[in-house]
Amino acid sequence: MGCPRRYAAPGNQATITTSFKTALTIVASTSTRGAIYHFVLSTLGVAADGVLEWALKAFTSPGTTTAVTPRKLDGGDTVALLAAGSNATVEPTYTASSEVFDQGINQRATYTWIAIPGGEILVPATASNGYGFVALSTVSPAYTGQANAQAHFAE
Amino acid sequence: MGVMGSGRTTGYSTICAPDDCGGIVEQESFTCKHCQKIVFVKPLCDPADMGGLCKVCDGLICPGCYAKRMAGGPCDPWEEKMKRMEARDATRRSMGL
Repeated sequence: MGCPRRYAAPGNQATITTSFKTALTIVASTSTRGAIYHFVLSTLGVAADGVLEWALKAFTSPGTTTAVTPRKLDGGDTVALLAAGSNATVEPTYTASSEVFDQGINQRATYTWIAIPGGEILVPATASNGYGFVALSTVSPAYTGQANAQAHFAE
Repeated sequence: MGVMGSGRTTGYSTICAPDDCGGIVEQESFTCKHCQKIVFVKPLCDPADMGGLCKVCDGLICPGCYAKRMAGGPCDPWEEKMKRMEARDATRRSMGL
């Protein structure tokens, strides 16, 4: 990858429940691989001490989401080849045991991860595949508000 | 020698929470060369607690992949997995499936 094009994709899950719901999907392009190198996880609800379990998992079908146009981080780049979606109403078909990230995070916290070149999460150039950011909250006081995920990716 | 001392970590995370919820916590991580799992590295921890080094691809791997390697499993880097996925997909699409 010489000088990769970079994009930002924001997403959210309007209502967190006790089962995993998808806040953001990064959907593969068959023309090029993608590389997720940064993500931020947060909540927008009333501050309390609930815990959310966030996971980043691979899927083979993207489900039904609200389309998100990836924002160019360099205005001179072309539109992204990878796609993004937010607030899934039909969950993607996730591959079992494919979590590359799985953490419990306090509702009041903002979580940021960033990778240097060589440490990115690579998205294969395979139709309908990709990665999804999912969250749930089961431990009392369970969080039921909006959860946000934003990812930066290169292609 | 810890992973941090070898300069092999490839990721960095921060948790920004109110002081009574832990405050700011910073962690280094590496991405498993075989399965892409993000493995967090505690400073000065026992290297055996965070996986190991695959002697074939010379990549850091997570505890799960390390256990598979020690049980006799092959070196199967994520790059090779992606090539197989992409080849299968290209074949299906060429057949109109």
